[in-house]
Amino acid sequence: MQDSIDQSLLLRSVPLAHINLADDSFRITTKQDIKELAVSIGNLGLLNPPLVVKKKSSFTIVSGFRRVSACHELGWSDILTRMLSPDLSHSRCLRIAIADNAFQRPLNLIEISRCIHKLLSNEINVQQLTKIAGVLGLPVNPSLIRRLSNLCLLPVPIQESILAGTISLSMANELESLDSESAVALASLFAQLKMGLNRQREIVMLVKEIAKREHISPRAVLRKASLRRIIEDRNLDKAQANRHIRHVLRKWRFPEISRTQQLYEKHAKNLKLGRSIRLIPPNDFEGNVYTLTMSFSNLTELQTLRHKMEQLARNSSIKTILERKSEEC
Amino acid sequence: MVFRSLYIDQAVAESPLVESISRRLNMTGNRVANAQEVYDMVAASEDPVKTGKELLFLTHNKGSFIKSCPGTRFYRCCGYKILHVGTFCHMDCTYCILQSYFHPPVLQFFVNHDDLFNELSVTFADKKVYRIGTGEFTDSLIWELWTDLSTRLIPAFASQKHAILELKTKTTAVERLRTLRHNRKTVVAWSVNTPRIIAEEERYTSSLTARLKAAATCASWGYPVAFHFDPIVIYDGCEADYKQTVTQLFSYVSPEKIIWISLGTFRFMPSLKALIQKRFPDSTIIYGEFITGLDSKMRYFKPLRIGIYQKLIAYIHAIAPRVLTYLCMEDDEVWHKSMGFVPTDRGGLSRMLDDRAINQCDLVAD
Repeated sequence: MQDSIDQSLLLRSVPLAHINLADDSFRITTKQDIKELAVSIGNLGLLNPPLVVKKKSSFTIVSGFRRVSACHELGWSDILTRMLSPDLSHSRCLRIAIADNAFQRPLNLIEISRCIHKLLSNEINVQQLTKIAGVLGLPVNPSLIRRLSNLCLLPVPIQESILAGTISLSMANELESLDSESAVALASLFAQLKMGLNRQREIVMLVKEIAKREHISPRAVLRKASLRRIIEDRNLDKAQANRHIRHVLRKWRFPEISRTQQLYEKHAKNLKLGRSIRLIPPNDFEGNVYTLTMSFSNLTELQTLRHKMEQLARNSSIKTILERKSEEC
Repeated sequence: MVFRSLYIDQAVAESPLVESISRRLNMTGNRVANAQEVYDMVAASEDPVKTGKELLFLTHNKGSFIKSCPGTRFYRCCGYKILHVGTFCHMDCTYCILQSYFHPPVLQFFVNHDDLFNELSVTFADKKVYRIGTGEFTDSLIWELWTDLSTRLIPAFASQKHAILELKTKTTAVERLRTLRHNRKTVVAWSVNTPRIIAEEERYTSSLTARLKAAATCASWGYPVAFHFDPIVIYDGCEADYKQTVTQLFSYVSPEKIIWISLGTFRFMPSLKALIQKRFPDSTIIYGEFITGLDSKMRYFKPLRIGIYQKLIAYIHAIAPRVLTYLCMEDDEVWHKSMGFVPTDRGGLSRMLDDRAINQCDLVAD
């Protein structure tokens, strides 16, 4: 078998000082914490030696970054490694690194993204990647590959939000289209207010469209004083803050529609319809058909409603609503 | 305009028209067994809209050449007929509905003109008043460089007295209209907008001044002319810009030469939004206050439409009080609040325009 790992693998102890911990060429893992691993290695020894490859005067880690760090932490001077042949190509080493990680444990989205990004940076395109992805334990769907490929380039706080589950893949893709400062600001807002995906989408759309129209950055939209006040108000619960933020953004994005809606609500309030009658305006005030719903459970209630309807027809506010003069409603 | 490639439907390959167009383009063309081959190639490209503009496909129209304009019952339609001579356009307007109307959009020209003129003859024999235009699915005059379509159409309309042809364009390709016998049965119409909208949203089109000069030229040759303020785009300062545009229009063409002026605010199918975002990332045209209209198209919020119509109509009527102005695809409320009447008061929009055509183009209504 050509270029097989078995033939090129060699168990060898090397001084830890000769391993280049700063070389992340093959780092897949997002885990940084090594405390528990160090305790385990301290108690049981190094059960699975890391994979390294010699590069000039030092060794580059191919797989086992945390194990090497843990041994370092334990104060070891040497470490047993599985050494790959220095003749192995970078691309081959990368595939070994990916397979070694992917078949040991499920990779998270950022780790998959790192794998894809590194492979695509290594002179292969998406089409070629789909052919080898399965062998490496990666997704094979080209559209998914594209969507995942740049997640690992997102600012760290967003990557953390993805790992924490507050940002979905589709939202992460939305945020990719923004400058990093704006994307981080939105991700932090979503995390703070625990917004669901639909709400997140609505906010991103409103912010992006306002920014486009006003020729400012999305970050500048989020810096608006009225939004900052809501975000920083500790007395508001999350649902209230959510609602207020959407209200402010909608008003900014659709000022005339919001104004008309507000005026309609003011006039509708003057009608004093109570809880058993509801007046529903046409969608976005585009059509001219208003709907009135009534609820009652006995004849007396029905007669009361009839009386209310007569009053309603005489109320000047209903006339204003129906005439829809733009200055008034 | 230089095409990257010319495709010829095998079924029309022997048509003299194909030979003539190929010669004028100085291209031999690739023969295809069926249209789907071209559509598939365009659809598979990176930017199908761009690809569809860079090729020309000569084929035949298998359906009707004359179609009713696709109005909806919710808004007042003008009863226009479309003469379906081809599809799409090589100019590149951000808002162009054709980008998402055809799947995929392909610049194609129908060469089975015998069928076209037979259908027209049947329509003329109807002896009803028809307003027929070629500028709905394409620009009417982009074909002037490579075809003799107008040279045949205009005289055909000139020889009867029941229908008018409207050529709607954003070009200045009118030179060949000079010597044609039109008998006032052809209206030459320009889509007009503010210089800012033309510069920002209407790529590869003629400037406002050039369009107005071309209109003045056509008017001097006796053609009735028309203007379509469509799409009217609402932006900060648009009122002053539209006022200036109206003033400029009448400085080139006097009101009595104008058969009608239509007004229509920007509206679009929802699917166009993503397409504009992708193809024209700098355009802000889609970030106005749009709502979903009763016909499921995105439209400006009604009070905004009424507001801009009121202003534009006032600007027009201040200079030309008697010019016929109408709204394209609006409801009675908008008509009433903008124009002060609803079309049914005057027999309906279709009737209003037919009457105008009868008076201005010497049509006969049987």
